[in-house]
Amino acid sequence: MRYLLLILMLLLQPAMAGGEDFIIIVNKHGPLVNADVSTVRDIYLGEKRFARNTKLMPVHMVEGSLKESFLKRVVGMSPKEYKLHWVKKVFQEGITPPPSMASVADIIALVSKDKGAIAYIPAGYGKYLVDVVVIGP
Amino acid sequence: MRTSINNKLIGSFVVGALFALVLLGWSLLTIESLLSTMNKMETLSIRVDKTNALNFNIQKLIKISDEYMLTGDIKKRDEFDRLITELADILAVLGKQKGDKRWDEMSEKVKKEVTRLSEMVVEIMFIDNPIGNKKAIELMGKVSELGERLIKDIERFNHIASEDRDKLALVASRMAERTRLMVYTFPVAGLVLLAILYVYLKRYISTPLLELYRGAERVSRGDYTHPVIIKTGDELEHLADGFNKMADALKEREAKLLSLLKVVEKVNRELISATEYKSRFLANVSHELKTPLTHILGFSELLKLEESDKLSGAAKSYVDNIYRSGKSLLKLIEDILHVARTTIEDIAPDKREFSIRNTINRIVARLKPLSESKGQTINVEIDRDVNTIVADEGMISQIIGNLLDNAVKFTPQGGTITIKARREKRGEAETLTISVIDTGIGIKPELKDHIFELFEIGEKGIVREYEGLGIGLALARKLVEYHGGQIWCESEVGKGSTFEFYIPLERTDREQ
Repeated sequence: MRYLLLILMLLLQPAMAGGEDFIIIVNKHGPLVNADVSTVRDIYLGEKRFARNTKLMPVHMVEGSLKESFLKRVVGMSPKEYKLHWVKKVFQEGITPPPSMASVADIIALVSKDKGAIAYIPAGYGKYLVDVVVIGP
Repeated sequence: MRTSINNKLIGSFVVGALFALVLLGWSLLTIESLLSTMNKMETLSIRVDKTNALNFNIQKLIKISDEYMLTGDIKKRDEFDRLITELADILAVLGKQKGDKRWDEMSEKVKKEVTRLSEMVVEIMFIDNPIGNKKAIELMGKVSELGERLIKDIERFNHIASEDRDKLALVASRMAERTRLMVYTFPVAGLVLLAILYVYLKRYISTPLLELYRGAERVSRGDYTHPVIIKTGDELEHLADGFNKMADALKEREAKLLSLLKVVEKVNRELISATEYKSRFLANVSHELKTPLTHILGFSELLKLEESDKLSGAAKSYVDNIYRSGKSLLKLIEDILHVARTTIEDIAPDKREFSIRNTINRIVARLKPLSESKGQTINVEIDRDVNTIVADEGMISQIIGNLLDNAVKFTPQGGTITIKARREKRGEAETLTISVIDTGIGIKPELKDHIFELFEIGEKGIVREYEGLGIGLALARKLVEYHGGQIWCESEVGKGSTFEFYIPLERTDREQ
């Protein structure tokens, strides 16, 4: 019931403006519950792809200031550097870059369902989370 | 022996097996090459498809950077991620199509150039205000140039792959043609081979066997003129040779047997005429003997009846002796005459209906005076159902008379003689069985088998006590046999004898 309410609220609320503050969320029952920032970085760079036999599933927000500030603070790269990194990765190692999602609600739903999922969302959503744990920053 | 039947059969099997192996081998080869052609075609199809897809996506990549330059929309960066993922997938599939060095080099080269192109697009997409930006325009020019070159390269390979695919399709269709030919040819070839094998086996096995069979049939008909000719050079030829030898041997032996048979026939004819001569002689002699004997009997009877008062006691007994001996001599002569006649010609019994009961009683009555003079008792036991029969009355009364004569003759003072008559079933036939049982001296076992034989009695050294047995039994046996019956005796020395005979009963008119 609470979950349904959350979705409703998200659908009604327009995208958060200027929300450069983000939180990193993982599945409550997954292997990433105690992951630190450097692990998160490795995951988003495609260096770490499995944890305890679970395939990891990093997800980006669509291009925008939130993604930019996440890349700067957690991965330590500009969006351009990050893209170039992935161009090499894709063609040399055949690994798929993390997909982007526009809807925060979809992201939360994915993370609550998939044990290997990891994502970042605007900090204001913290209080609505179920089955999801905030691990940073 | 050049080739045995076994070798022929093995040869036929080997030919068949070789044919089957050739068929199997050719089928396998054809199927394998068809499969590998199909695999190659699939590979080429994938190449054609993927090079097409590669071109399409590269064009899309150029378009994205073009659009970003016109709009500055940062969402194009997300589209870019999806596009390079797709490009990477296509390149991965192309990279897996191994086995062609030229192709491997090409795909490696394309991969590098696509990477470079992507990096240049990234450069463009991270210029914040691309519209009218000098650097962006410059980069875009390079992107277009590189992209066009890349597309041309890929198109060339696409063209090569298409051509290869078409060539291969031609090969595959030729192969299919060959397979069709095979499907038509092999059954026909198999049938022809089978027909050849059939003719071969028939000629070398079946026909010779048939020829042997016909030869055996000819020999069994007694035709030795055509030997069996088989030229197969194997066991059958040997068999035919053996068969011909056997036939020759048979022919020789048959000729010998035939000549022997002729000798035997001649001897037999001589023997028969000798026996006939003997019998005729006997018949004539006995007939001639009867005339003087009749005189002796007549005169001795006259002496007995009319001149007895003139004779002394001793003379009377002499006359009696003369008369009795004469009578028994007459009987003997009559028997001999009878036997001699039956030997010369076959006498058919003159069968009529008569009462056997009356016949037996009459014979017993005739013998009564003699038996009573010896203090003997004669019992007659005729079953109730024995009455009228169909037979030669004269012959039957002679048989019974002879048996009873002997019984009276060889039974001592005060003995008992029993005659029995009864109906009996022997197998299917209804018979009349008559037994004559006496308490006489009996017959020694070693003589039992001979007493029914004609002229045997003297030769076997019959001892004194059997003198006078005569040839009555031999005659009796002949007469019983004329009626289709049998006669035999059982006896114990000192206790008595049982003579028994049966004749099959024919239905009387009344019974019918």
